[in-house]
Amino acid sequence: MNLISLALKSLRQRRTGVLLTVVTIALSVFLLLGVERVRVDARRGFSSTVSGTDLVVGARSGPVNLLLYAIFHVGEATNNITWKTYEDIRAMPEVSWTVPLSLGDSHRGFRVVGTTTDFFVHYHYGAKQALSFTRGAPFADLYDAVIGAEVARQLHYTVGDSIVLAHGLGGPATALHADKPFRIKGILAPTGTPVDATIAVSLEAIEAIHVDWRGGMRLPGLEASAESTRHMDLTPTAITACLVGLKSRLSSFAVQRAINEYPDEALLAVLPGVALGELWHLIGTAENALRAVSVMVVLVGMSGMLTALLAMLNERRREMAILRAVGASARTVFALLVIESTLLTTFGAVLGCLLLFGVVAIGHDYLLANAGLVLELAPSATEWWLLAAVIVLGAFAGAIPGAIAYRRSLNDGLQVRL
Amino acid sequence: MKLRTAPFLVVLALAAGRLPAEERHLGPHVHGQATLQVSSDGPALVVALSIPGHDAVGFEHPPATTEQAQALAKARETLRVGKWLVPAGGANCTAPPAKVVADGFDVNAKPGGHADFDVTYEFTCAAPEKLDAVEVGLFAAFPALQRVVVDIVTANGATQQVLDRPMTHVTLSP
Amino acid sequence: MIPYGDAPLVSCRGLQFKWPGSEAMLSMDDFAVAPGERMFLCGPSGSGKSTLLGLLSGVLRATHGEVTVLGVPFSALSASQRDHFRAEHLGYVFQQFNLLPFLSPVENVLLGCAWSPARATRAGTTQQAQRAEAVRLLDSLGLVAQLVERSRTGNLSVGQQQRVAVARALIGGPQLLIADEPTSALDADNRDAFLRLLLAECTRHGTGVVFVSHDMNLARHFDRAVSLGDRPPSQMVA
Ligand SMILES: Nc1ncnc2c1ncn2[C@@H]1O[C@H](COP(=O)(O)OP(=O)(O)O)[C@@H](O)[C@H]1O
Ligand SMILES: [Mg+2]
Ligand SMILES: [Zn+2]
Repeated sequence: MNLISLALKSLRQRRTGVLLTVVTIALSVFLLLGVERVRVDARRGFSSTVSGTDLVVGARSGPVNLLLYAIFHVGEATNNITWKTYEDIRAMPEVSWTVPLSLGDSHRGFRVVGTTTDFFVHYHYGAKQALSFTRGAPFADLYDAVIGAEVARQLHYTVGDSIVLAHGLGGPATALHADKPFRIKGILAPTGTPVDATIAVSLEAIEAIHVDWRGGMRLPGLEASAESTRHMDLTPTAITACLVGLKSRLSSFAVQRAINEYPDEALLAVLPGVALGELWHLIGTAENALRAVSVMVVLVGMSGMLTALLAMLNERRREMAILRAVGASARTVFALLVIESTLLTTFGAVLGCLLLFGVVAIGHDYLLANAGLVLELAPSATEWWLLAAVIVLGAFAGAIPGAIAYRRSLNDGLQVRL
Repeated sequence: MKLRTAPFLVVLALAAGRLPAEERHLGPHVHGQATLQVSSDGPALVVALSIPGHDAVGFEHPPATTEQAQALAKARETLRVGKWLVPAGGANCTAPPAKVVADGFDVNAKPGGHADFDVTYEFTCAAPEKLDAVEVGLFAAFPALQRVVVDIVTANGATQQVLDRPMTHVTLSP
Repeated sequence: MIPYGDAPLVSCRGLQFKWPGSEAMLSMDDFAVAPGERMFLCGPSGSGKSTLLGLLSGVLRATHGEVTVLGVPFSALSASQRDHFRAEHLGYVFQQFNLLPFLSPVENVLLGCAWSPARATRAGTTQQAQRAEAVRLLDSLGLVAQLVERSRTGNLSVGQQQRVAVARALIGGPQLLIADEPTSALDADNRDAFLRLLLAECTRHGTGVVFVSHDMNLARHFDRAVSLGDRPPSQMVA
C-alpha cells in the first residue's frame, strides 16, 4: 500500500471535515483565478476597445482625456475641431480614411454620436473585428438612427421604433429635440465596447436637429420643421473628434506629429493603444488591490486547511502510532501529512478551476451583454502558475502538522498518551 | 520609399515655415530621457530616436573646446552606425547607416536653448514574422541616460514601454 | 527460521532509560528472551512495561546500555534502520484500537508487511498469495472468511479487532511478537481463547513472544514470567 492511497483512504474516512476544507480552498482558488481572469480579460478587452484605428484626433487636451470623451464617452470635450481642419486631415496623403465623431446629445442616458456610415466600416474592436448588425442596416435617411446592443436591451427597442433625442447629456430639465424624431434603422451586435451604449446618427442629422438652436436654446420664431430642414445645407461647422486610419503604419508618428503641430488649431493626435495603456495604468492600482485581496483569501483558505489538519492531528495520534508499530519511520509520518495537505489543496484547486470554468461557461453571454466583458474559458499561463503556487503553498502548509507529528512520534514512542 | 519620405513633406506643408525647424522634436525635451519610436509594417522597421544633447554629450551648445568637439563627433558616429539597436536575430533585419540630425549644436544656435540628436534607422527585415523584439543598448552607449520612452506601432496596435536603466528589451509582440 | 544463529532473541545489558522531564528511570540489568521463547511480563501500572516494549521495538533509544535483538545491537543502528528492523522482524499488538478504521480487515493485516519487502515476500510471493496468507491467518485466529471480507473494520467487536491485530503482527513470520496488554479489553472467556490461538500461531512460526499483562492468571500459558517493579511475580509458572 503506498502512502498516497493510504492518505486518500484516511481522507475519505474524515470526509465531512475534508469536504469543508476542500470547498474552502476551492472557493479561494476560484476567487484567485477569477480575479486574474477578469483582470487580464478586462484589460485585453479594454486595450482593444479600438483596434485598426491608427490615430484618434481631438482638440488639444490630455491623451487620456481625449480618449475618455471620444471613445468612452466619459466627460465632454473642452473644444471642437472645425470642419475645415477635419477636411485638411482627411486630405493628408498618408491618410487612408477618417471617421468624424460629433458628440453632445443623448437619449435616455445613452450618448448620441453623429458620424458617417464609414463608422460601421472602419471602427474595429478586439482582434480587428468589425461592427455587425443583429438587425437592420446603417442609417440612410437623415432621421435614421443605429443603436448599440446595450441600448436595445435596456430600452427594449427594435427596428422601426421612433425615438426623440435630448439636447445635451440629459438631466432633469433637458430640452428635447421633439420636433425631429428618429427612426431606428439598425441594431448593432454586442461588442463589449462603449459602442454598445451609443446611438449613432449621421453628422447631417446632428446639424439638422440644431439648425434652429443657438447656445443651447431653440430660437423662438425661427423653428425649422423636420421636412424643411432636409433642404438646407447640413455640412457641419465642427466635430468633436475623429478616427484616422493610415495607409501605412510607418507614417503613424509623422502624421501624429504633423497633426499635433497643425498651425491653425490646437489639436491632439494620440495612438489609441498608447493612450489606452496610460488610462489602464491609472486603473491599475485598483487592479492590484483586487489581486492583493484574492491572494489574502487564498492565505485564509490555507490557514483554514491548516487549522483543520492540526485539529485532526490529535485524534489521529492512534493512526500514527499504528503506522510506527508496523515499521513506518517518523519521516514517513511527516510525508503522509504533507501528502495529505497537498492532496487537499490539489482537490481544492481542481474544484476551484472547475467552478470557474462552469461559472465562466454559464455567465459568458451574460457578462458580455451586461458588462461588456469577454472572458476566456481556458486558463492562461499565469493562472497555471498561480495554481502551481497554491499547490506548492499547500504542500508547505502540510509541513507544519507534519513536523508536529514527526516530533511527537519520536518522543512518544508507541504509546498514545491522550 | 515614397511612403517614408512623404511624412516629412506633410510636416513641412503643415508647418509652412511658421515653426523654426529646430523645434521639431519627437517628444518633450527631458534631460535623462530619450524617446524612441518604433514602427513596423511588412518588411519595414523604422526606429526613430531623439536623445537630449545633455545625455548624449553632456552639453547643449556649440562645442567650445576640442574635447567637446570630439565628444560631439563620437556621439554622431555612435548614432550613425547604430550598433546599440539590435532587432530580434531571427528577423534578419539590416539597415544602412543613418543620417544624424544634431539640433542646437551649430554656431548660430540660439544661446541657452536646448540641443538634441534626432536619428531614424530604416531596416528591411527578411523574416518580419520573427520580429518580436528589439534590444536597445542606449544605456551602455550613453552612460548619462536614465530612461527611454518607447512608442511602438505594429500590426498588433500601438503600445508604450518605458525602459529604465539598465533595461534593454523591447517587446514588439503583445 | 532465525537467520541469526543461536544468539538470544532479545538481550538487554545495563539498560537504562529516562523519559525527558521525568525522574522515573527504567533500569534492566539483565534481560533476555531465547529464540521462540514465550515470556510473560507483569508489573504495576507505571512500572515501565510499555517503555521497555518501546525500547525492544527500537522506537525508543536507550539512555545507557544496550538492547540487542536477533544479535543486532540497536545502538549501532540509526533511527530509520531500527524502523526498518522493526518492519522486518517484529510484530506489535496494542492494548486496543489497533486498526486503521479506513482500511478493511485484510488490508489492516497486510499493513504488517507494507514497510518491508523481505517480510512481504515471506508472506507470499505475489499480492494474491499475501492476501491468501492474511485470510489464512485470520481464519486460524478464529475469524471466518465471510466475516473478514464483508465487515468494515469499525464494525468488528473488540475481540475480533484484537485478532486482526495479532494477524497483522504475525504476517510474514516475524521472529518476535510484542504485545502490550492485548487482552485487557477482552472478557474472561474471550481472553483465554484468544491467548491460546495467539500462542498456537506463534509456536507454528517459531515466533518468540514478549507479552505484557497485569492479569497474573494468564501467566500459566507462558514459558517464563518476569516482574517489573516492586510486586513479586507471585504466580510464576516455569
Ligand atoms: N511519552 C512519555 N513522556 C514522558 N514520560 C512518559 C512517557 N511515557 C511514559 N512515561 C512515564 O514513564 C513511566 C513508565 O510508564 P509506562 O512505560 O507507560 O508504564 P506501564 O506501561 O508499565 O504502565 C511512567 O512514570 C510514565 O509517566
Ligand atoms: Mg503500559
Ligand atoms: Zn442637441
